[in-house]
Amino acid sequence: MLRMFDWSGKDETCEQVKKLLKKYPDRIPVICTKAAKTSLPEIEKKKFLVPATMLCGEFKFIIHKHIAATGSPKESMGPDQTLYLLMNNSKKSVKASQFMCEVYAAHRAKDGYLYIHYSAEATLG
Amino acid sequence: MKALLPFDMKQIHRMIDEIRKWMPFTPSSKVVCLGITYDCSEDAAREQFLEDFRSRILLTYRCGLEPPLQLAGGGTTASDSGWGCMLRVTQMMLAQCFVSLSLGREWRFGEKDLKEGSTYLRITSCFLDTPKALFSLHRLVEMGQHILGKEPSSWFGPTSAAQAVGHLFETSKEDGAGRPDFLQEVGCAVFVDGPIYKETVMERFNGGCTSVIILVCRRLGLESCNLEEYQQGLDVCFRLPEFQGLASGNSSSSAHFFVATHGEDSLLFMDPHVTYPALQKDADVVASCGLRAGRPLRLPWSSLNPSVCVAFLVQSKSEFLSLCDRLCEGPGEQLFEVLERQPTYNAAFDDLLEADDLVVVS
Repeated sequence: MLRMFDWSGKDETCEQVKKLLKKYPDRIPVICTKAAKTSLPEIEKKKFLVPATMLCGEFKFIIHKHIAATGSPKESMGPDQTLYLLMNNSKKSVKASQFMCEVYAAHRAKDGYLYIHYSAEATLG
Repeated sequence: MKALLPFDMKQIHRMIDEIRKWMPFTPSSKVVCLGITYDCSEDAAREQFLEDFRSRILLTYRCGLEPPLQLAGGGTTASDSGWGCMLRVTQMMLAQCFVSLSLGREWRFGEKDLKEGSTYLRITSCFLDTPKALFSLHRLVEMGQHILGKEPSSWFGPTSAAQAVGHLFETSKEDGAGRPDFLQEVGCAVFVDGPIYKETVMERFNGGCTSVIILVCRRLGLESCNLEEYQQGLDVCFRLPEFQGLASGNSSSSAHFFVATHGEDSLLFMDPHVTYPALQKDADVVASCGLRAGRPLRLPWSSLNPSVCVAFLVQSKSEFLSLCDRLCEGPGEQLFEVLERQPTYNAAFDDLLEADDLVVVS
């Protein structure tokens, strides 16, 4: 199994993440929340444990599903509405072909989670 | 403290942007306009640039739209003033693609372009304010409503406007009669969330297209554009001969069509935020002496909106493949991602609920 990180050494990693990773050693802990000022609905569950080898494109697909499941009207999340994922800390957008473990290695927060925002396009008038 | 300020920061930014727009500005350093570099510290080069710039097709808000647009809550509107700027910017980007396609990059506006049946008039006729025109405001609004559930008079962004264009290309292919000659063999590929899929563009060529317009949409930050990561990549685009402009806007939500960079720190744009009477027929274009851009307006990179759509025009398979290579090397690599084909993510991932707030994906 893929083990990307040695969790025992990272003191700042929060207890919750340590516990989760012990149980699911080949997963990446992600917290995905709605960006401020976007018309999209808030997803119900925000913490995810995803396979390290999952592609960012796949992760986006999952978030899309969760947003669609909130049952909001068409304009806020129809099948043609485009979703953008951005890293919370660097405001860099994710690339579809990157592995979640690569993104995690580059952008994990001190508490051990990877924080990602989802947003729609900005509209202009 | 807040109560003492009559405006919030957003309004102040908007005012600064407005004031800057009306300040006299003369290009004075290096300008890169749609693939051509001008050293505007020299008078002759500056004049050449201005002639180039003024030849671009300017589309703006229009009033007296006929028929008026039906609003969601009943009632109608006969003007897109205050909400249609992103659609106008997208029309300008498309018009620029059509100019490159049928008049070429060397072409500059002249009196002959207003003669009946001219290529210029055939291009502008695609954007007349009537439902019959192929890429009219009416049709873009209708398509936005159809595919995205956007009610007439709602704001568009670079992505949704590009999607509307892509769908109009698709539907007009079916009833090819509505397409002018110069668009008969032109395809359009819209990439809404970043990756360019080679297969999608190759399919257009294999299906009989001789040219493909490629629209790549990205979101390059949340509150503002992440220039540290992406400015260089965007800057490279302006130098490419395939580049047809950048549809975006400023940080206070006014849409602009960017055609050039000025020096290191700013962009030059065409602005749709002026309202003129609707264009019903070719004669209206002739009467206004063409749809010509005025003077270039300047926006600092730091005020660029994070939502962008970049347009390219490729006229052969090999040109497209070479463009992909050039986009993926150097600073463009941050901005673009080229994949062989669109992956199909199936629903094979199962969500297991571990706790109230945790989803384990397996």
